[in-house]
Amino acid sequence: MMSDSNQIQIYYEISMSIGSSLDINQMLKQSLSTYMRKLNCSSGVILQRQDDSDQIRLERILSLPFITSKNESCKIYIDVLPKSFTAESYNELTASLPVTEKLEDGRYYYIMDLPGFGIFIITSKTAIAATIIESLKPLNQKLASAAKACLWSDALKKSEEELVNLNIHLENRVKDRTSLLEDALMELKENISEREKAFLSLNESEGRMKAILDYSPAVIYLKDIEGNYILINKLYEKLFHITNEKIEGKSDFDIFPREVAEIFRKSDQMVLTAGKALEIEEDVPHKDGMHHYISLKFPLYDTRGKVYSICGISTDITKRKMADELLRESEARLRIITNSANDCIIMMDDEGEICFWNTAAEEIFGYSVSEAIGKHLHDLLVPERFQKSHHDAFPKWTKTGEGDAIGKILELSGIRKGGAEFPLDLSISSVKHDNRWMAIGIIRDITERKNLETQLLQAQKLESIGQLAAGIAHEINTPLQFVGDNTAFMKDASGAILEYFKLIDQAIADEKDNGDISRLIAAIQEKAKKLDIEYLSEEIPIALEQSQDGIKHVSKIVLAMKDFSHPGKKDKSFADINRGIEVTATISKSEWKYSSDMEIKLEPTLPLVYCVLDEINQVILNMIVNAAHAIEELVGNEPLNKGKITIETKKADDYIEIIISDTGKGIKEENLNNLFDPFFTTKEVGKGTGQGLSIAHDIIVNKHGGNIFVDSAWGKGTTFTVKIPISFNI
Amino acid sequence: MIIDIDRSGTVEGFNKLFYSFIGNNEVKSVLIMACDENDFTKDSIDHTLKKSSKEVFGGIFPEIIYYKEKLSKGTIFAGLTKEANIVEITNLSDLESDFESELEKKAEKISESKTLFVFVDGLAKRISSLIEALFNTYGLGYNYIGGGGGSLSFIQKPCIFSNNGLLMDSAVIVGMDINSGIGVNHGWETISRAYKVTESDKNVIKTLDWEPAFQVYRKDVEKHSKKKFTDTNFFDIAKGYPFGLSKIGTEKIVRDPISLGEDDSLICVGEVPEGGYINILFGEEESLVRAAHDALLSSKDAFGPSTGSKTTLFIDCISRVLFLGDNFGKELEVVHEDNVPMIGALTIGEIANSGSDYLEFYNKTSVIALLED
Repeated sequence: MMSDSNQIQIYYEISMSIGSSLDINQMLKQSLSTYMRKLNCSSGVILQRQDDSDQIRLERILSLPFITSKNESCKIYIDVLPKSFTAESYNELTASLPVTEKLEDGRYYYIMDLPGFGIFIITSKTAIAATIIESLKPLNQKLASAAKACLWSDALKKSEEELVNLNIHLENRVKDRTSLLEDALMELKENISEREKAFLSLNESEGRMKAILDYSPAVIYLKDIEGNYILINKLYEKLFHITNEKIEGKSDFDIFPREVAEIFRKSDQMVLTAGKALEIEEDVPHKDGMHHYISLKFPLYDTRGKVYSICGISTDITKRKMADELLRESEARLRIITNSANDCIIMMDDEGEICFWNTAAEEIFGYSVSEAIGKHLHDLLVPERFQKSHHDAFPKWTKTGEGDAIGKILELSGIRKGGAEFPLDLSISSVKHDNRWMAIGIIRDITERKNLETQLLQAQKLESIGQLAAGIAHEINTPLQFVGDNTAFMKDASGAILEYFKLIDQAIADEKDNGDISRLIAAIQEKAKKLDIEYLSEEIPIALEQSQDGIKHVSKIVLAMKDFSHPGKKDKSFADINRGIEVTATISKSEWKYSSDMEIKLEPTLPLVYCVLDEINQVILNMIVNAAHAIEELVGNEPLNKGKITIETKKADDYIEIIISDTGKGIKEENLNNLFDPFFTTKEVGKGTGQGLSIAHDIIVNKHGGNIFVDSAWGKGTTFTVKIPISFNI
Repeated sequence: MIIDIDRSGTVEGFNKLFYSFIGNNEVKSVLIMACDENDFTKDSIDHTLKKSSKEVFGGIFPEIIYYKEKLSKGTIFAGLTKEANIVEITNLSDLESDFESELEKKAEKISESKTLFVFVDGLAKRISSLIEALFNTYGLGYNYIGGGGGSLSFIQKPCIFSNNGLLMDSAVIVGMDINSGIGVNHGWETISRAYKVTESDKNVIKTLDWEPAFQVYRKDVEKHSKKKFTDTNFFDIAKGYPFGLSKIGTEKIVRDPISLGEDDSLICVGEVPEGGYINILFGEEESLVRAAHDALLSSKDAFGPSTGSKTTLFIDCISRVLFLGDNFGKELEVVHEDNVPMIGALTIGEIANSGSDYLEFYNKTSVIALLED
């Protein structure tokens, strides 16, 4: 026999297991398990009453063990219960509970009432004392209450979830206004632990709901289906100067002007008809004028599935609307600005696709906005030869927003619709938008300027050639002079030799008749002596060799001239810088040879460089001429007191360096900053236009992405270091 | 049932008997019970187990029972003449494991069975949850018999035999179409008032009546035993003083405290629900032996009259052995019947049900199954 205290402990344990969760399945399962464990039962079932219009049904919501073909113990009894009851017969049944029955299978069945919730059946192979079953009544009452609380909580939870979802939806539209609600919800969720949740009473749930409503930055209200207010939140009270207590039973017609109230009523009825949530924009009069709201209204259903209320969540979007308007205006202004720009303004996203395309871009490239947006920029606009360097540089840019081309103005080529290529200036900057890197390119069509520049460059080149012409003429003239002298000598010599041969023929004919050979020989020797044949035999080969050398020298100069002055390709290609230096040194020899010796130290393994070689040659020429002039100014044209020009090439990481040093007079420190300015010169009038270094800077820095460094000591000399990237990534 | 034993406890001895059972046409499935001292590992056994063409199941236990002998080394093989349908449950300590849905999925597999053998890793943390899930999903339409495997070092290691090898933190539920009769009894009596379990975490009792559990426990136990707990003798004393959980109409459910936690908590075999009441129990040698005999009588009663061959499967708690010491032989004497072969295991926790009581995970309890095979 079990002691009373033991029984009380068992009841206590059962009691403790009730209501430990607000999830009805979990709560009932835990409670039923404890009932069964503590009462040593073999099965248990909970039946929930379902109230239909005129009858009550009992629906099984839990059985332990779960009912399967092997576990049918309780099912037998459920099957003998009526399928439905009238209210009266149900009351009769519950009034008779608890009931104990022993069935044919030898088991005892205990049928108990769960007041207001349903019926509870447990089975046991051994009899449980009637007093114990009677003692379970308060526990059953608690279980019924807890089950009802779970149902209620579940409905509340669903409403809460719906509310959260609706707020999230609103948040997307009115982000800034709903963040408070989300924070409040998050805070509540975090603060309420699972255990606390389990013990929350219905009142606490209501309190939580009220807190949510009151902290909401939206106006929230509940009306019955007749349009009479049931509940409003704090914001409603504040805005419309009415308390929750006073509003009960009032309708919109008591609070707002008739025409406004009619609109509200109409929208409420739309929700009732639709039977689902609707989003409605509404104008609501405030003290300071009309405010614009976006309202989410939805019906609330009771446990029988009937609508009993309408809930509305209205968010004031007046400011947002104004902000939208301002934003629209701002966007329109921006559109006007970008579309009136003469330069293309193009934006590329981190997928490489065009996402902005202004009017100038349409005109210059020939693609309309709809044709350009979403297309891969480089596929559409960039010549194929630049594609590789773009693809190489693109991954780094998408991660860091950095690249060789960013922040620079580059001279490149583009392709118009139809395939025509044209030169352009490109200025790219990277901006981060929505955590993605975007590139904004401002592109200028420089076809016209380029033509002018080409002409200017050609003119400068011709000017250089003009300047060099006298020296080159002298260089050519000297060998030509001795070629001419030797040719005159050869002419005289060939006359004497021909005469000698003639005399030999004559002497042979004369002495043939006489038959005296010795006389013949004597006659020939006399002629040879007379014509100085021995001298001619020695001098003719020398004269021929000298002439050949002279012609070679001329031909070398002519070839260098041709290489240098021929207008080459305008486009970049991989070229041999060493060869360019040799050519330039040759054609400029007359400029430096009287004042300077030249040493050329070219790195034999120097890689080919991606450049316009013609332009690089022009830079080198300008620097050699400058070096020669600087030496000349220091030492004059004294052959015994020559200066020295050194030209060196070498590879340095991804660049090649051309180092041109001279031992000339150097550059004064105050002039170093102006060195690359157009028309800046320190040379005497007639010796320089001030364009040479300016053009060199443009070619190296702007067109080739390189750099020029100057190191100079006044009175000692100057070193120019030109750095050019081997392969330039755009 | 064909029964044989390898007393050497070696892998070679295991393999020899294993292959002879697998090769025997009469044998449809094999129950293996081995001693922890054999020191079988996955490396040494898995290869053989995985090659089996017949269903194998069982466990490694602190000790095993062969007729009237208690062995700490060796392996018992029992060849059953019925096919076994095995449901394997892994991650037994994982709080995320949903045993009910796993068992439900495989309910069909064992639906034709009459008896379910349940062997679990006795040191897993959620054994009671598994047992509750078994009750909820499979109900009491079956007789249940089984226990917890493992080592008395209380270090968790692979201890469950299956066709997938030696498993740790796992259980096998084996359905078989054989008749059985189950008897369960322990004989422990209450010596203290009831204490409220004010804090527990699965199998760890942290506080009793809001005080550290060990402090409450030691007070009563030291007074009753007239012995003092020291740093090293916890289990020596605690093995005689388990806890009891009350339920109506049957003996208390025993929970065995096996070690002491850092914060004076008590670590038990099997879960102790928070919010419940427990008493401290004590057993007399005589009451324990009598209880084992009562279990035999209950099993015979449940088995009913039968003329077929039968075998006794005796699942007894190792801590009863530790408590009874040399007198454990008396328990073997009273449960062994002449002409009925008896095999068994000394386990870490027992599982049993004869179809009427709520299914429980027991400690310090004698469970006897008479099997018709």
